[in-house]
Amino acid sequence: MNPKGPVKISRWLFSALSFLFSISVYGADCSSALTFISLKDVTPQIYYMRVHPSGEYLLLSGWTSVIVDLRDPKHPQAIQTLMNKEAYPVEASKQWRWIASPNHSDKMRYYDFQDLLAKNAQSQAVFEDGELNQFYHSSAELPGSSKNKMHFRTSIWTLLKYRDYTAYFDGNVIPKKVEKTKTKELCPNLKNVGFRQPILSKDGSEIAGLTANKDGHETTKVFKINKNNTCTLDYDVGFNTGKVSFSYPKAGEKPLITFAATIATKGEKGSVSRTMRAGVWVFDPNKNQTFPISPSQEGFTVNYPGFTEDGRIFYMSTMDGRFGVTIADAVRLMSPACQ
Amino acid sequence: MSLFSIFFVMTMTFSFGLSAWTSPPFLSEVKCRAPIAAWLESKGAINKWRRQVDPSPGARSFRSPTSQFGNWVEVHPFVDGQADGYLISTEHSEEINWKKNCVATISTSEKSESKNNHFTDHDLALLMKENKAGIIYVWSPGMVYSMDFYPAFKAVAEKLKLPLTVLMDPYFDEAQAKKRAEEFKIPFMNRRVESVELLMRDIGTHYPETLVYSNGKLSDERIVGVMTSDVLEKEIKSSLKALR
Repeated sequence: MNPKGPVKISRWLFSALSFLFSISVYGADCSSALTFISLKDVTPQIYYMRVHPSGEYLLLSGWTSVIVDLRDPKHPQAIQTLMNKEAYPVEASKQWRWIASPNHSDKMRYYDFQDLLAKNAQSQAVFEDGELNQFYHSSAELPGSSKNKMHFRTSIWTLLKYRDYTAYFDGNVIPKKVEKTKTKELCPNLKNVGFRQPILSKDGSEIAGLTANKDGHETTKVFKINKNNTCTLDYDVGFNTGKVSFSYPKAGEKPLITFAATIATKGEKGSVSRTMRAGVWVFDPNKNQTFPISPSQEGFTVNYPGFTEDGRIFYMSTMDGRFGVTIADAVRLMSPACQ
Repeated sequence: MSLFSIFFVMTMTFSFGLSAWTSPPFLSEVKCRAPIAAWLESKGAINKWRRQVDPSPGARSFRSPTSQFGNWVEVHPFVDGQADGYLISTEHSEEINWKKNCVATISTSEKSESKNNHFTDHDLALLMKENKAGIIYVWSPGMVYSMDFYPAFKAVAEKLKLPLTVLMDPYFDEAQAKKRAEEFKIPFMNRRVESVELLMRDIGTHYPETLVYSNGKLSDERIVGVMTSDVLEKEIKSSLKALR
């Protein structure tokens, strides 16, 4: 009998077990970075979604717009409002102060978010604009806002226009005064290359959207909005992401963008559409790299990803009647251990 | 000149004559470019490459139609020299993985089983054969405006005297979809997109998605989302012009 035999086997077993253990820890660690909350019994599956910077609320937009309170994730609660479909928050760090709701008798109505939480469908608009109103809009607070002053921007894709507002407060929900700039053309220098699906960054200084390249194909690009309302290319992602959502500003870094897209997989028998992998991705312009966030699940649709301020990504996920929101710990999922 | 030399020259000339296919630029830095290029050529890739989302950090993905309608290829080159390739078609799908040593492993999946409410490449080919030009409108019960604006899109199609083919998001639950159509007072048009030609054009990222076909050709670019009727009319005319 070779005395070294059992030693060799035990070493082999130890290595194999260590390897399997590392796989299971790796798998468990990364899969625990995803949490699914069912919304099936809360709202119908018909929604466009934005997530509050805290992750405590969702703004869902279907036939009307509904706020979902996720503070108790086991019991999400729908808050009904008078807002129209396609309401969009005035995005900002820490909080949403206002939500913009389009097409109320040809006016964009702005609702106070805290007032909506307190009064639900009794909450009335605090400001309205009859000049810059349309769906496919996005809004963001601009630098220079304070407790008594909200400086913000609203842009509209279908009109390719935007304007800036400054609302002054003296302790009431309704502002004392709102100043507006003239309605301006959005990136008029991009007219020749089209400009589709524009979305403002969280501080309103940049805008992401699709423009056509020389070969006719569209790729997602991020532009700085200049004072004279022209736009200067910051970077080209290099492919078509569809609508994006920016992360919150961090000193010295360009914000990340998240989006939903599909690529091919081997697929399933019986369905060509299920050879496509629908996924949520993050593009980091600081590293010029793309990171998959959602797991590979053919036939599972994911959409409307958005960042919270602490770096999580919330996205809508649906499959065969299952409908809800998945919360992804993007920081962990983008780490080398999970990629 | 010897007989062998003549044979050699003729063979090379003939080979070059046949090999009009050129390796795509994105393969220039890929380790296994020769076997990947050979695989792509064998699948009839026509080198109309479009970059898709990166599958992982540092990796890339590119997609192209092939010479056979309804067959597309996708290649995912990775930073370590490995690569994955996919042939996507209704008949069968193929996945090929080139390891670091460029040895390939291939796995195939069976023919897709078409259901009555599937709109396949066969249906698409027939549609484009039967009509000189037309519009394909894809709606989703999850996107309000794709239901809300259906009558407006239909009216524009009627104004332009173009047949409108209405298809549905392939992933949406049937019962919920029916309920949504009733709520929005639109007909329940539940033919689901199962056409490789449509799916590979990224149908599904922002419903409604509209595509135009003319003279047997399908537009490469989608008309995304909703818009006013005059803008839509302009977009359709521009897409038709590009297909001439």
